[in-house]
Amino acid sequence: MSASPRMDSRCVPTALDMETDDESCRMLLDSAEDFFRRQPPAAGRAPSGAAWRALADQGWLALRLPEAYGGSALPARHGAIVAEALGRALWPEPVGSHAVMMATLVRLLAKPGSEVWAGVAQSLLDGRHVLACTWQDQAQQTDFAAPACLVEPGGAGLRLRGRKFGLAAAGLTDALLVTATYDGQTALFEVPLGSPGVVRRDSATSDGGSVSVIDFHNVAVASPLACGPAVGLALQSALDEALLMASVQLYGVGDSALQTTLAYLRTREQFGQPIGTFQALQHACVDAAVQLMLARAACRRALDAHAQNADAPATRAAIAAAKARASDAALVTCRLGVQLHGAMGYTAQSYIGQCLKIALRLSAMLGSSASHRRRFMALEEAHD
Amino acid sequence: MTETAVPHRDALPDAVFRQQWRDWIAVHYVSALRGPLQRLVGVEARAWLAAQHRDGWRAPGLARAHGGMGLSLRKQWIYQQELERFAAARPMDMGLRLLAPVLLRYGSVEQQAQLLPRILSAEDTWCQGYSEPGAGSDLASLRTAAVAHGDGFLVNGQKTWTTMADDSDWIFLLVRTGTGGRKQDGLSFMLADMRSPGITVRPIRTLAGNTHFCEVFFDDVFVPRTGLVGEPGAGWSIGRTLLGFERLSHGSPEVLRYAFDVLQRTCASLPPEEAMRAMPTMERHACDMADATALYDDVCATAAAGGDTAAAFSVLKLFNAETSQRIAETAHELVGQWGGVQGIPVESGLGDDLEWLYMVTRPLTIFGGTSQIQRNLIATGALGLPRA
Repeated sequence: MSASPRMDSRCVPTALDMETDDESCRMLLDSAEDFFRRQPPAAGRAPSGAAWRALADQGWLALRLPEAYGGSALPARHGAIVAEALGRALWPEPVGSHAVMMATLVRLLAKPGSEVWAGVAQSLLDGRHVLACTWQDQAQQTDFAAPACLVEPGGAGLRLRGRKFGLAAAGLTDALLVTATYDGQTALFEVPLGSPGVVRRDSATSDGGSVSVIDFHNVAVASPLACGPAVGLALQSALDEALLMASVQLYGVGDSALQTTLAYLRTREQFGQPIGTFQALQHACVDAAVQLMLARAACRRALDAHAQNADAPATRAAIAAAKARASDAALVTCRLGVQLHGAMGYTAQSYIGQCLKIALRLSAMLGSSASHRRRFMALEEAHD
Repeated sequence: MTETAVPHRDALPDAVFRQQWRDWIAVHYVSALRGPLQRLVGVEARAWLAAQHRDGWRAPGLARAHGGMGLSLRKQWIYQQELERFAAARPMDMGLRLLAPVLLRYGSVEQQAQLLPRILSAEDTWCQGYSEPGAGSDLASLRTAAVAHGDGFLVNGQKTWTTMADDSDWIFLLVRTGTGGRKQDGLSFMLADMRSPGITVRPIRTLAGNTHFCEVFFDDVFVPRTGLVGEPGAGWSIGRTLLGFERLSHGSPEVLRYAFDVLQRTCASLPPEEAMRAMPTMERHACDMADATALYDDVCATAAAGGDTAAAFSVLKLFNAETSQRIAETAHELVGQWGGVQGIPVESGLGDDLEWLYMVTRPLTIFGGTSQIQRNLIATGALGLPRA
């Protein structure tokens, strides 16, 4: 990862964090950068079980898990440090839906002594039994709503039917936590992906992973892990944090693409001089850098708001703005990077090309920039 | 002005300071002019600044030893926030904003003692003579010349885009006193009385209809030796001095916020189906404003903590200026055939003069370094790209 020689462009931690936070931010940052430096390039590979377990071994899937469940119980800012590093390293593992959301659900819903919840927590500690949260009843859904999937008594026990959208990395996933309406309430059920009656259609995604539509045809399920209004609130909270982490990850991708492109412009020579001397190219880079600086500020504001009150409308608005800006900033920077690398940038093995592939999927995941700008304005008006 | 005469407000708790300043503004601001794009001029401007001076609210960033408030960057930020919140029209106040830092750093003790108190009391107002017809972005190629004459200099040449020259007592200017070497090396920083024989001021009308934009002609204007600041030939570096929050305030998104308010009012005046069509653009600009504010708050906090923020302010100036223009353009497009109409026709249902907003935001990307020059500076500075 080439760092800018002139200024620290990392999103977190900031110089200010250094004064106010303990040393844990700096230590986590150092170990994350050290870890990814020692890994082979991720460029283009599919999400893998080995990579997932490596993240678990570092303790990064359980950063936000309560201590009672063996987690580190650290603030979201620490999660963001890992998210940014993942972005820079172009790792395609689905941390948002498979770890961030999962840890939030454990934090907000787990009942002491519950074996099922202990199992969910354990999956974040060792990365062996991989769980994912599926909650989208519609392809374009960006906020929690009463689930369309239904669980009703049938046969010897309970049966689940309906359809979910947006499962990432199905090939990596062993079981799902599915939201469904049960007895008139929102409830959460664990469903092994291999259960009879679970049919999924995978589509490959630009980041090397996949996204799946899953149909549940009267799938037998055990009693719910949680039930009632708390599930919807926890789900929304989990979703907001996943969005926040995706924003920071996108910033990481975008800034890494910019630094890589700048390094190329400083060294690549044409017409007898470094192409970075050409004004047209310089100005295009500045425009991308402006967007990234705005994205970084938007992410920091969202992190600060989240630390103060994770579920306030103002926090959710700030997160929406961060996702919108980080998506657009990353995409504009990666597209520019491909263009300025010339034909080299168009090759599948180029780092800059893979930045674009990752940014394209991350920017669409959980809602495009346009949809989050719409959410931002609606949420802003809600709390004014 | 002695140090004890100015209340020591930097020691106040932030909230108390903010409230006192807010209350003071509400009582003492008398002009009908509001908004960040409005200029307070003439008698109104002098009265507003003189009142601040009288009550110890003048010159937030200037040290108390020099008659200022001696506020920390953090307090200066609050000071600025309250002015923006009230939407007080801004006097140019170039004497304080641009000349005072120069005098403190490069001026003689006599120059400081003679000029600073009159700047603070608003007895003297100053204008800036930098640009010339042949020297805009390439300022160092300016040609107005000062040659030694008796106990001073004779100045000949022409300055242009001199804001408020028609309402100023003095002018500080860059003149050429030497030739040869780098073109930057032959420049000197001089102070001239606008009442000097040989100075002619001709107002220029702008696209926004203002006339405080002037040409200033110098025909054998005598400037005494005491009007030279610093060493002859040192003008280039002297002329680039900025102090404290003045630099920070260039990043403020207040114009952006104002333009967005106008856009919201404009949108509210549209038929519902038209307003619906405008929503995606509104949402984009709402996010632009929110993110620029986040970046501004971020860099102000970094600056207050002693961090390096020079690049971030260039970025903010660039983004805020261009986005303010885009918002003005959006508002113009939304109103269809009311576009290009000056004033606010009653039948239009509009709340603002959109033609004026469209025109008055044009120079935001020209003054204080064009957006193209800003991009050059950011590219070779913060981004570390090689110079051509």
